Amino acid sequence: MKGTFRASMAWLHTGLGLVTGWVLFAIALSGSLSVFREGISVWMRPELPTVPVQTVDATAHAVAWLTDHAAKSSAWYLAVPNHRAPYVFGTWERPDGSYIQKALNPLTGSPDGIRDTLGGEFFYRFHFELQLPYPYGRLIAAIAALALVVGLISGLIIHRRIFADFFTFRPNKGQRSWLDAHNLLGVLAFPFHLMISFTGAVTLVTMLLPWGPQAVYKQDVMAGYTDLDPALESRAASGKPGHLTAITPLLQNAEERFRGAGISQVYIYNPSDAASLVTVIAGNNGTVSTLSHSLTFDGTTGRLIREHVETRPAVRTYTFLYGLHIARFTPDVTRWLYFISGLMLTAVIGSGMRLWTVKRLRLPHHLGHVLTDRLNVGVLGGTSLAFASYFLANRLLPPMSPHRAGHEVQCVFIVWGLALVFALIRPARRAWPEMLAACALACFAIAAVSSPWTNPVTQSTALVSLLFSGAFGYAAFRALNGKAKQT
Amino acid sequence: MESAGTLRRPLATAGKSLSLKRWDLACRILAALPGGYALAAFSGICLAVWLPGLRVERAMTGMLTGLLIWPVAFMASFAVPDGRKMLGGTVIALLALMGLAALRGWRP
Repeated sequence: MKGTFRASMAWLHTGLGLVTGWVLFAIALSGSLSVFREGISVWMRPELPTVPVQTVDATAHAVAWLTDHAAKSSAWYLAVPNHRAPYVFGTWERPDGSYIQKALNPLTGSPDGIRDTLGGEFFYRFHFELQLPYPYGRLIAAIAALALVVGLISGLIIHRRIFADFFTFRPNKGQRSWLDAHNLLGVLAFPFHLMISFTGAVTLVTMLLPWGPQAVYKQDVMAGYTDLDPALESRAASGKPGHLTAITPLLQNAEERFRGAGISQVYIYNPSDAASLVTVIAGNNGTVSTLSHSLTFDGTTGRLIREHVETRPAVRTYTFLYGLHIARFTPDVTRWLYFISGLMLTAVIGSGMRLWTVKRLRLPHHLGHVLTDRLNVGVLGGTSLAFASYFLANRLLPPMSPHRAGHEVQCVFIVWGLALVFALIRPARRAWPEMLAACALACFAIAAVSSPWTNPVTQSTALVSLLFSGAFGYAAFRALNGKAKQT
Repeated sequence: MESAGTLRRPLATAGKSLSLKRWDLACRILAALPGGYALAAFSGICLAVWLPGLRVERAMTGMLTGLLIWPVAFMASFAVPDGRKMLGGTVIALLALMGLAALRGWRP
């Protein structure tokens, strides 16, 4: 009976892994990079001034600039600066209804002179939207997250020898080495992997299982949003023109009320209307949860209209799990642990996909196995190469060309597409070393274009890229020499 | 010296396909995917309409519980010995949850 249970879990682990492995690989890799999304954003904007930034002053400058240049917009959403992201990241609606996102200079409030790029936001959005239209990307990501939960637990069940797996790695043994690597990486950070996959599903739960809220709120969707954070008041524009009150006193008031948690976001609705609103959301100093405390002011008079401190247990659980996933609360050391554990998860998924083919290609070749083997080169190697090319595109495209941010993202998908085509038409044993060597070169190039290596962001980017370059180079070398022996 | 690790049969079970009969497998997949999702959805609805307290708390508890139920139901569908019984059990549980929700005024 026990044997059957384990066998069926093994079957499930393999089947589910094969179906979701590639998309999970891309999600895990982009998620790991998103841990440093502020750092990546700074790396991608070398024009940013390198002075210490005052949160309140910088936000006030941004509001002043937006008042002059985007007054007719229905809303401005501002992510305020902190010591990691020394600029205001603004999102606002243009008259034609499309949204624009720009980094605003903390000293002038203007986006001028800063290259147009999505920076780390690209990886962050891709991580849960997969560059697909709403809501499909998010639904796929949510289902993939749950599949990963099942994959991890079923994987744990098949490996009866968790403790021994910590110390078992038999290199140079082909298939067995791949299995050892898969197990070792899997058990080493298992609690983290389980946490990150489940909380990942939690961040998208309102899309995946909207039925509970629908049962209690019926048609009144807005009431649901308002209940989730009662301070996020919304009201229609009055149609009468109005002027925004001075923003600085509001932000100072908010900082006092947040008691050291800091400010993370400022939303301004209908800025040029008499019924304008200013919402301020607390930051994550000393709290894991998102949306722990928020305020809404009347934009014209500056009067505090709503204040909400989150104390409701179920909502608190949700915001806690959400905060655990997006890791805004984490100090630097914890961020590195998130990053390394995330890369380990990426490697677990990648080695699992590789293991699937290594095991089957010992048998007489079957078209499906050969195809999977080739697609592995295209997806595992190609994703890495495409993400690396995003960094290079940021430096190689002319800094002030129009639609630059869009072109950077196009570069990622062009490289990805080419990598897939290359992998499909070339035998995998040739394509592997070539693809890995391309990844090694691309990572080395990232380290090179990080020059001058004068601040911690460029230094650590260069260091991490060099490590990646070395790892890819070593893997390419092994793939080249080991192909006769291994597969 | 031989460690316990080297004595292990390589790849004891992983990847070897079970000889699941076709109808049995179909039942399991039905119980796991649409069945598991519906169980999660209706447990969420039941908790949302039956629990005491604030609306948002009830809805949130329902959603988060649903998120735990789907993976568990999913794994159970492949772990139990008989796929047909699993599907039958899922359908019965689903009807019970639907009935419970309807009792409290829930309508599709």
